[in-house]
Amino acid sequence: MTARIAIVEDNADNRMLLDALLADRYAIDEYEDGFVALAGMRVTPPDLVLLDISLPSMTGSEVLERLRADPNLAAIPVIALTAHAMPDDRNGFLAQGFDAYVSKPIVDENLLFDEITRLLARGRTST
Amino acid sequence: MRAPEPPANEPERLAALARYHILDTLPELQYDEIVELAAYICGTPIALISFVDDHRQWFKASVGVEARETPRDVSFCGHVVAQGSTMIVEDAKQDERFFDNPYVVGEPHVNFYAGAPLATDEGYTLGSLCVIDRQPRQLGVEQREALEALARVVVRLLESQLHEAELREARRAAEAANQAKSEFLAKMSHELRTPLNSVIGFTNLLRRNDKGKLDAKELMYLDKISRNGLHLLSLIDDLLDLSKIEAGHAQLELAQLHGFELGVASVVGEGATFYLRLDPAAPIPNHRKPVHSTVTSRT
Repeated sequence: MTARIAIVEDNADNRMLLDALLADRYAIDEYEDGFVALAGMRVTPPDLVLLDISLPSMTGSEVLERLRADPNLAAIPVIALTAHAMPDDRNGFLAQGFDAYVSKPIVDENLLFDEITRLLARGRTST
Repeated sequence: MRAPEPPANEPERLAALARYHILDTLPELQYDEIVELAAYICGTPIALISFVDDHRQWFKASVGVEARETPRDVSFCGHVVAQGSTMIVEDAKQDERFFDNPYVVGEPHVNFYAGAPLATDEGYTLGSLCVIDRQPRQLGVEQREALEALARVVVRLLESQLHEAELREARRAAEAANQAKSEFLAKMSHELRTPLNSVIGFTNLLRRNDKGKLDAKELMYLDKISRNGLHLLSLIDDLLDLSKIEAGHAQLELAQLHGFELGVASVVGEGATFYLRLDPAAPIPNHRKPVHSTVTSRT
């Protein structure tokens, strides 16, 4: 069965880019806002979340917190996909509980594909 | 009794006094030791460091009296401030300015008073270091000189504490400015990377030429967009590196690239020394960051 990926990203161009990169391999749900994303994921839980950090009404870190607090969504792997790319950011996001960190711009999309593949495989073995 | 007149430069003097932030502070050992030494040298039961405020004199340190402040108009030290020089009253009962002063007639029964001015380099007399006895007496030349020297020590102490406070404040302001700069750079980095994601990402998508419709020239143009996008990204990274070095946070970071070794030799104050070591036998490396631009922009 095709894995389902939720993309939470407020920038429409970047959303379109992710869709173009991933749509032929995965089922994609696009959300432009944290609240809408949480509501949507409760109805249709994805297998993996690509989560932007600087979102308008609720930061990606807050979205992660609420995902982890929801028993139905807590186990879903979440990748921080963000333009916050200062030297300490990677460790900071991993410490917050993100399963992986990919910085924007995505220079080599294979890095993103590898992380997605790795986390989806991990999800299948643990369930 | 004659109340002390304010000196001609009173408003500026009060402003100078306020600058030292000494009024109503807690006791401090250094000042306590100075009054003890003054009382010991002059052989008096009472010694005070008095700062003369608008309507009061306030004691930073004292021996022999309990009061922390008294009104200015009945103060002896107010007269030292008025005349700006050492004042010696050998017998207050015989002095028209003080014979009926409440501190002469009543407690603590001031009879002998010697006060040396606490004068700043700008010429403001902030108060006095004084010694007091309950009986008439005289002060020897050496005792007077010692009292005046101790008064100068008090002022030096004030100056150095003010200087320290100013340094602390300057440091705090510099740290705040540096923090603001870091936040600004982090925000700039984020804002620049977001659109660059679309530029680089869509260009890479097109370069795949999935439908095989792009000719060699078109692919070369896309290649140029891609390379310039990556160059822009490396410039953003360099800018952040540069700001780290300016802030003095540069780590000794060695870049070893096939015979090249680039590093930060030392960071001293605002200056940083870099070195670039080349192995003449090694081939010129092909690295995405042009080494020459890295070196020139950093030095």
